[in-house]
Amino acid sequence: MNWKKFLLLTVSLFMIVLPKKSADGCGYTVVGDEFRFWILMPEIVNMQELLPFTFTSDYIYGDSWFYSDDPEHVEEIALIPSQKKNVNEWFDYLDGSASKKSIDSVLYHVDPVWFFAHADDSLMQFDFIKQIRTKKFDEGWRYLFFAKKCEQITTQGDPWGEEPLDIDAAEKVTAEGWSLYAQAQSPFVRLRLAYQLLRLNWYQGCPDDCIHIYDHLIKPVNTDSWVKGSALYFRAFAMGGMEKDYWLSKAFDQSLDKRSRCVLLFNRDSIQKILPYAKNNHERAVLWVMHELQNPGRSLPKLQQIYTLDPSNKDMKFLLLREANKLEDWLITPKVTSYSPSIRVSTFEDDENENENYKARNLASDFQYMQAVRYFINQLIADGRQKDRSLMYLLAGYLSILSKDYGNAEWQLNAADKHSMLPDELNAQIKLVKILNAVTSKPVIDSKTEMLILDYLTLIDERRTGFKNPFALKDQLLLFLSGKFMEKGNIAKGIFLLGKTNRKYGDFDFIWVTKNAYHLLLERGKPADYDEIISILKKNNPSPFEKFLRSGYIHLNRDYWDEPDSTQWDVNEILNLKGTYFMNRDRLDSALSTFSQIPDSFWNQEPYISFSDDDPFALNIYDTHNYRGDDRKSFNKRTFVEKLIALKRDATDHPENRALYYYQIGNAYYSMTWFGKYWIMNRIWWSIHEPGRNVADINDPFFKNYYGCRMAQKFYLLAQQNSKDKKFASLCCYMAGACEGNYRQFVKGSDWIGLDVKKNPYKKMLKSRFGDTDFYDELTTECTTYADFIAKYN
Amino acid sequence: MLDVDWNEVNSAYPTSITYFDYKIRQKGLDFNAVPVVFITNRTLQKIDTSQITGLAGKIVRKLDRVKELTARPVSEYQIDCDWSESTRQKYFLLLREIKRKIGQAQLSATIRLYQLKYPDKAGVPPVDRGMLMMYNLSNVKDYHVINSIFDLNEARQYFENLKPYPLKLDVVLPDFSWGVVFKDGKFCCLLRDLNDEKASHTSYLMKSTWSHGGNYYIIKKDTVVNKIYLRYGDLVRVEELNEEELLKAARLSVQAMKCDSMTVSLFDFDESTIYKTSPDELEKIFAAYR
Repeated sequence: MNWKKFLLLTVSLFMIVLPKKSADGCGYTVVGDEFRFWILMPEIVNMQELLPFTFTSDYIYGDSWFYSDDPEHVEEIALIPSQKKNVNEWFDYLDGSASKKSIDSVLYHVDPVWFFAHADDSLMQFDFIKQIRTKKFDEGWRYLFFAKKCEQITTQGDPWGEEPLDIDAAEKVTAEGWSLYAQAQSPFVRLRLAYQLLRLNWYQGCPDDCIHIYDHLIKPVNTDSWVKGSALYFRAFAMGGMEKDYWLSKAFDQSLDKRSRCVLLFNRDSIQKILPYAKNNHERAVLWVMHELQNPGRSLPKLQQIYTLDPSNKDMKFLLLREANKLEDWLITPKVTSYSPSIRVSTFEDDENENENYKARNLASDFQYMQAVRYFINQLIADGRQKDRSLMYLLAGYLSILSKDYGNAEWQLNAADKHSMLPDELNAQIKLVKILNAVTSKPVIDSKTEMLILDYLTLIDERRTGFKNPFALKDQLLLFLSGKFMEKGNIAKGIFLLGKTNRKYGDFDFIWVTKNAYHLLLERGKPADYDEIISILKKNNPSPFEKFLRSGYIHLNRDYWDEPDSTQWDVNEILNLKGTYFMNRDRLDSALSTFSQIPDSFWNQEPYISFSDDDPFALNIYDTHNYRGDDRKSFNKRTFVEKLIALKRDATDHPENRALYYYQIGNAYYSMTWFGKYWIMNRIWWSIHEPGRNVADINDPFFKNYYGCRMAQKFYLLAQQNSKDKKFASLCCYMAGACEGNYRQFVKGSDWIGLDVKKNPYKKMLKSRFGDTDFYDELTTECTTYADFIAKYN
Repeated sequence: MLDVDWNEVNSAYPTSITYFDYKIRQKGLDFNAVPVVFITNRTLQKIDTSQITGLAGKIVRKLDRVKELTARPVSEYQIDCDWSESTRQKYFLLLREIKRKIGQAQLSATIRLYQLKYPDKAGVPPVDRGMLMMYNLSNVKDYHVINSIFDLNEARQYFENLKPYPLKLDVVLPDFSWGVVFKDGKFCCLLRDLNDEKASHTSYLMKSTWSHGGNYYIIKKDTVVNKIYLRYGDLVRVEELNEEELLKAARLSVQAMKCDSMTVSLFDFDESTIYKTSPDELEKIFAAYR
């Protein structure tokens, strides 16, 4: 058996044909944020504590976002602002005598057990410890030691694994805490001691103590410390029913470290029952903010309500960004990929008449919704009650671009840019959206705009945007630009850009494989586009943008094995694709002319080498892929076309052998179909799952041949008509019947299971014309006699 | 199976617990397993006597997890502790509590050489058998020690004028090696399983000309091994026993072994040692006790 080819075919193939890494219960699939489009980055609102509620189907900064019931479990990234605040408070407590770095190290990066073991030696390397162990800060040191004990108890649980909590230790440490509290004088230390006691009591399931500690030891303290807001969170759990949710909203509003957790635990569905607990409009607005942070659908009516209740609400900007991210997903994801929006709550998706129409209706409806959001943002700008006007202008400008209102977009983006001292992230985002406006608003993307794009990509590569994950943005930008270039008629540059993005933009869902730039080129390219790509690759003096386009590796989406990209743009490969384009259209002379420009050495590499032992002009219907390796002649794509053209010429010039020539031409066309050994003449991928899955338009001439063997059948019938040899004519009829069977299965759209005897006219013809011959059984009964039968015609 | 240490919050707590692979458990292996717990002397120094019964229960419950490994009943539990005169009473109380909880099974305890030599000072643990440890005679952290795992001259002193030990003894011999890293003459850490052969083929190590009776290597370039940052100039004392030394250790220990049947163990007879130690070598060692 030709094992190499068999393997190649079995695993599906070439260039891309590999399964994607994501999986769901039904097999491999592209999910959520692998294809969701966004350009607006979450950092531009500078609200790290709410990052987990960025509009996404994934957590974009990692995969460690858990929805656990442990109220102590808070995503690390959400803790950072509170950590900074805590370090600053300790810094002030120590009168600035220790570095913030050493404070941060000891507080957040020293394991309690190590802390206890090395309190008198290694720990002294931290100037924080040196300072706090002086007599002046003795209370602070005793508190720190105590706090580490609390950390050990609350984070480690029972080390023996027998109980959720080490109860003995918790009781002992709680008693110690009360003793320390009774002695402590410093308000800084007393507040923290009370906080730790609150936590310990919460863990020990003592709600009354929690209420007492909060109400008497924490609430009356006049301070802006983060501790006070955080303590509200534990106080909330001392309450029951809807009152707990109300308290959670207070903690959400006033804490730094517990905001995300409060939203996750918030009983969103019961908001109407929680609202009566709110004492003023601000508190009502906060409840609606928590409600909307988890709304994957349209939030505008609630945002308007929040604005009415509390015009300067601090979370409004985050909610507006979420809304803009939703619009990106709903409106742009379907444009730049072949996927529907990654997250969708739609009015029309459940349409009873399930058809493509709902997509258009959704798009139109979402476009209208965008206008309403845009109007609302403009209203906020005009009212001037919200801070961060640059951000508001940026969002308005971006939505103006999506609305094709480029003039307004330019004005708004300039207004966004006017303010000095903007954070790096916001600056970088404004700059990018301005480029998008330049790209989108003009009929042609000129060289000046190309330079702007290049400069921005450099900014990303040099990590000067301020974004934590700038390369996600880069991939999105490349994908967006690719779409824009193609939309404006420049397929070549669009394809180059597509080769540079890591984003998913389409797949062959029946074989679980994502598409790459080669696929898109073969789908969309015209001969002039191939020539343009080749011209850019060959240019002696390319423009800087062209130089960028042709540089680096092509991302072929072979991510199943996480292989690094290693394929560079290659003129011969583009010529091969161009020749394939001509083969798809049966333009043999053009194909030959194209393949002839490729050196023979090109065909001696994978995957083409795997086809070198196949003779497409000889066919055994029982081994159409030549797995057994019976073929004796070698071909490549050029010599294949050469011989095919020669056979057609011979069929014209030599009528005496015409039947045999037509038969061999029929074999060649059969070999070029999905069923044949030389499908690579027509495609750059192959999968066993292809036919019978409604994979192609049955009226498309190419697919009629590729899955329906129409061209092959035409030549088998010509061979039959021209044959004077009855035995040979029966073979041609038999093969025409095989083609007919394939075609019927393709049209029927079900799994290919062989010839349909009852409906296949050629099967009937075979029996009626040749059924009484001595070779009929030889041809139709079993594969070994069949092989003998065809030997002399191959 | 289990190490127990002390911290300020949890008091006695497990620092490491061996978990058995699910596949091994599924196989239902048919062999005798003796679960062993190592308890630091610090734990005994710090623990309150009132907490000992509770600790004994926790230890036995953890050791009983060995039952997941083999279908056979646990016939012996072993406690390893380098107890001292000051912790003797608490330790022996712990042993009695453990014995009470394991029912019919036998309880054994490790016996170090000085405990063997001075039973009057160290006391004799209230257990069914002792396991004589023929290694770790010296302080591994001491820069001047030649080989902390085993030093024949050092060991001999413990066997001079040795009185019969009141317990029946088994013996465990050292079949392991390590590198002891010193930075500026101060103990830093151990490099597990390092021996002379490995060290001579390790790119970042260079044989030291300074012998001091021991086997020394110098770190010749900065490198990170097992999360330890080794710097140029750090000293590594490679400690191991060759076949001859192991045999001498065995012969020496025979003087203390007075019973008819005994267990001879090798520590650490793990994957690397199994393939390193030949059957002939093993036979010679076991023959020393016949």
